[in-house]
Amino acid sequence: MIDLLAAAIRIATRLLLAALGGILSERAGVFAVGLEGMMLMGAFASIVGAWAADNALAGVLLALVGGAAIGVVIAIVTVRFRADNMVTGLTANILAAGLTSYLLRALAGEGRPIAIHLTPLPPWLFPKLDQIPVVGPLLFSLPPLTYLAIVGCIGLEALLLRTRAGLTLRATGENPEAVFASGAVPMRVRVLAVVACGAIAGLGGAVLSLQQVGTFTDGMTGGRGYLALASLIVARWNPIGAALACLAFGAAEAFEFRLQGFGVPVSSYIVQMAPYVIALAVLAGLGRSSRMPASIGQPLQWD
Amino acid sequence: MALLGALEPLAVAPAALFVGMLEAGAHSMQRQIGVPSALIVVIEGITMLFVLAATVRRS
Repeated sequence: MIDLLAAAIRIATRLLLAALGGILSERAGVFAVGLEGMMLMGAFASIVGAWAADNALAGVLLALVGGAAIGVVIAIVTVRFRADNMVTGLTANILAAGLTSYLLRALAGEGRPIAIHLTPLPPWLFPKLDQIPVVGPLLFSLPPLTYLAIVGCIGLEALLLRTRAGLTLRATGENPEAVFASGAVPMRVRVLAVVACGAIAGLGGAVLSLQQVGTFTDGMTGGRGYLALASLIVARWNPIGAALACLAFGAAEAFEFRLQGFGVPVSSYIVQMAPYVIALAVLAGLGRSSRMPASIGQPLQWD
Repeated sequence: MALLGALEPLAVAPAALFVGMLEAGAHSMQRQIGVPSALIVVIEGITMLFVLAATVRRS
């Protein structure tokens, strides 16, 4: 049971980081459909960085840059050129999928993908604290990026609800004219939010590739960006809520592995569907009762 | 692709033809000179982003 929960926390990390980025972007008024591409780019950049520099930290930093690069593209097209958020996000996902597969092959130089295998990041153990029953394995013996996600979640909640910058960001998603009247520049706020979203979602991708698998394969995010998008909507654009939603999805996925381990006579494909079916059911149940930021997806006037 | 074309139904046919040409050429490009066919996906993505950015929206 504790084992299952610990696995759920580890699996939830990548979703949570992507969802946190998405909250930043959507609260500022830009739909975060590009999360998938940002994650994929981050996953790729982190593996290449860690492999080239032989240093996990370099990989993590490059994941921030890679995700932010997709964020910059989305920000320019949606905010500066006022294009449709949804289509732009989907297109950016296609671009990221193509770019990562292409670069993976270009690195090898002979049309075949380069094979990089690294050891996944080991957990950081807090001495003494990790010996506490129940709490120890759940909170004090996690991989490094998971700690970062937990701190980031609490930090984002504080930033959004307790600081002036957070207020400006939320106002940009609700009523950009009011932000403009108060002296801030809505366009700048949105661009910064989308780029930051890219960097954080890129970290989510790094969790997947660098922390969990140790390699990169084509399209390895496999829809997890969309699952992160669903979880932030379920959580109503709230960081702490997003953490709980991601934990639920993580638990579903962790349970799937256990179920296969026990040899339960259920097709593994059925079980793989579970997180997505849960997401659909919750979203359908929530219906229109979830109020999104008022001016999300609406282009800004020139300013 | 359909999303891009959906902005203007009449533009779907030439857009699809363009993409079809790219994809048809992708494999022979990979076979003959060893350029990864994933490059075509990159070109598609970039093309669509530019078209999106160039389409001025009337709100």
